[in-house]
Amino acid sequence: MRQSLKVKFLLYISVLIICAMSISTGVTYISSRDTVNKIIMQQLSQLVTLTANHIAFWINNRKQDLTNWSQQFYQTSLEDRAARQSASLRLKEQNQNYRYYESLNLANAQGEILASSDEKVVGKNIEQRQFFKESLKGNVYLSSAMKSPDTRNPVFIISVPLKRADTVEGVFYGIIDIAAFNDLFIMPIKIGKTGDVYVIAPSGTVIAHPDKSNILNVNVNTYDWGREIMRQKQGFITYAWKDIEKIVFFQEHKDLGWIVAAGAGTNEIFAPVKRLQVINLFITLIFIIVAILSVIILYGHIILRPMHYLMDGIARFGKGELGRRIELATEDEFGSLAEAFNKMAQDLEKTTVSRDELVKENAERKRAEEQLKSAYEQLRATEAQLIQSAKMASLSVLAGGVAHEINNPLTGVLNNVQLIKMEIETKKEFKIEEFKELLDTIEESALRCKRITQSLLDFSMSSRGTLRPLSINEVIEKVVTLIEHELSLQNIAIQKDLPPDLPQVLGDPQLLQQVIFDIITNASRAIQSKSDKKEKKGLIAIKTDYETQKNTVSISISDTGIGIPKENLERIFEPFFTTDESPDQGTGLGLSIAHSIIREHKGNIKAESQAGTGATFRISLPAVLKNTNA
Amino acid sequence: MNNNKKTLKALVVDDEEIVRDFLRRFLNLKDIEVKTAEDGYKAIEAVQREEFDIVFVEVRMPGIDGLQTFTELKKINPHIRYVMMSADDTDSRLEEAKKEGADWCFKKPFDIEELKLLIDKVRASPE
Repeated sequence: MRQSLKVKFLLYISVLIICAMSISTGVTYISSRDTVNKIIMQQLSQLVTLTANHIAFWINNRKQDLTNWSQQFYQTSLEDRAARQSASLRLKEQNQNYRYYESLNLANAQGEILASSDEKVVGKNIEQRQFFKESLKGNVYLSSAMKSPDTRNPVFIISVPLKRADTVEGVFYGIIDIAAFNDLFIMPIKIGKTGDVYVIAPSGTVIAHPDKSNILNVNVNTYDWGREIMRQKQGFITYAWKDIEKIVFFQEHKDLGWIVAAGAGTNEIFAPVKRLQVINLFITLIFIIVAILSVIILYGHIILRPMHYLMDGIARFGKGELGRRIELATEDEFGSLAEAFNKMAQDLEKTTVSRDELVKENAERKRAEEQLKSAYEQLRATEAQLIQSAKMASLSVLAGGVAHEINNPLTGVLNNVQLIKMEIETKKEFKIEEFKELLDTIEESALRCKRITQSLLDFSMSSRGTLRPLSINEVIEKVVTLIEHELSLQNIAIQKDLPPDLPQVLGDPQLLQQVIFDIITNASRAIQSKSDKKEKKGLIAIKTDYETQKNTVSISISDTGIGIPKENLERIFEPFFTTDESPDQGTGLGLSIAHSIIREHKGNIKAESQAGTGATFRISLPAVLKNTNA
Repeated sequence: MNNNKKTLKALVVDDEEIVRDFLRRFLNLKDIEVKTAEDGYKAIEAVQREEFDIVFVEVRMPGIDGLQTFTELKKINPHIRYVMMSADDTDSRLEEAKKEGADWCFKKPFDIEELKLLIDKVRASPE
């Protein structure tokens, strides 16, 4: 629990810190990258503009140079062979001063080279060359880049007309060595290790490049990015050249028609940004570690330690150290918790009994429970005995009636036999019909005796504890036999409605007799309570029936007694519940025993009553189907 | 006012027919005229109507019980000899009847010799 809390806490804090750091690092990286990007672009565009202007300026100067130099030859008669040679020498001299010219040449209006710093070309005809044609028209002309027909080096040509008055008499031109031009403008510019500046002719041909092998050999139109450059004329583009990604600014110089491009390797440009990012990450990591350590330390100090104190205190208190208090002087929630605990402990100490007492009390309770349990078991065990005792008690109630029921027929037997003997002794003549009549009486009486004693024996017999199929009508008849006379003395008549074709029920005859007996005696008491006038006759109606739907045999026993008040209807089956206050009152167990017996027979017993009109007890017992034979 | 030759008259009051029949036969055999009543009401009627020398009353009967019947009868005719009978050995009402002035008490079944003796006594000393 403690561990998991710590882990949760740490995890939460760590995630929080990492998130914060990542966001800050990301933002820093992006913003610094943007800044660097912006600066680089600015610088690149400045560089391009400067370089382009510089080149244009330089080329204009060369045009000016060549125009100025052409003036020298106005007075010279170029028809003169010596003058031509002298001019060639002058040009050679001039060329040595300005090395970026491959050669300086002078041609007449027919295109014949009259003088040149390169003697080999003198005499050649350049009539067909574009620059010649243009300058012959009086124009100063800058040619496109080309391979020199003489040296095969990349060159471009600037040509000016040779004018006498307004007449063009020839063309003066300088062949500019691109390698030298390259050395002048391109090579000195360093943009890191991978950056460069280059120049593209309107045709797309690269005419200046730090890598000279590219000059005149590369046409940017063969690349997507190149075509884009040629289309846009000005702007930024990023492309990979020889596996190095570059960001390039390009701009066309209006006068020259050349596009000057300056590029820088993005890796190189952003290297400081990346370095910054690494540093940033490193700092973040250190910060996270420091944060986690602080959290651990703070957690231990602020949370774990007071929590430990609290838990220890609570545990000790729980073990019975009721005097235990928690000493925690912090001002935070733990302090409040400790205070609250101490307050609670104090209250508890005042009100709680000691642990020893609790243990003792618990033991006592357990003992009491055991006693209760054994008492309950005893109670269960003696239930059968109780039923038997209740029966014996019933018998004592019956005693008078039973004696009456036996002794009367016994009179019919014994005294009639004695009477016959007397008659034989005294009377000479004996009427045979009279004698037979007497014998019938004797027989009938003896049978009555037999029936009574059998019923009595059957009734007093204790339960065998097994259920067997039996006729409920027979059970009722036996009980009625025993009690009928007693009831008649109380002026109570019994009315029986016992259909002979009733299905049997599974039952214990002794127990069921007890139930019927209890209900009948209960009914007789209810009748007695209603009126003490013996003249008034009471009635107990016993009716049995078969309920086909439920497959139960029902017994209803109704009386004309005082009835049962509504509030007692549910209580009459409780043990010892009795409303009978007469001296010969029942045990208060009769109906509760009846209830328990019927329940054991899986049957149901209930009482109904309407004030003043008597009560009806209804018993239903599961029937044994007629065709099922045991 | 009566003499030996005069026929004695008896009333048997019992709800049990067997008992009534036996006593009727027995008393007839002893030349006693016998009337029977099956309950207290009929007994009272009979005693009000005619004279009896001896009345046999069962102490426990439906309706008016024997003891009450006896008291009533005694009020009507205190000169009759009253014999109380009971089929219940434990019945305390026999003792009660004796206190009330019953002449004899019998338990059923009867001791036939005692019955004979009783008849002789009644004959010997008619009231």
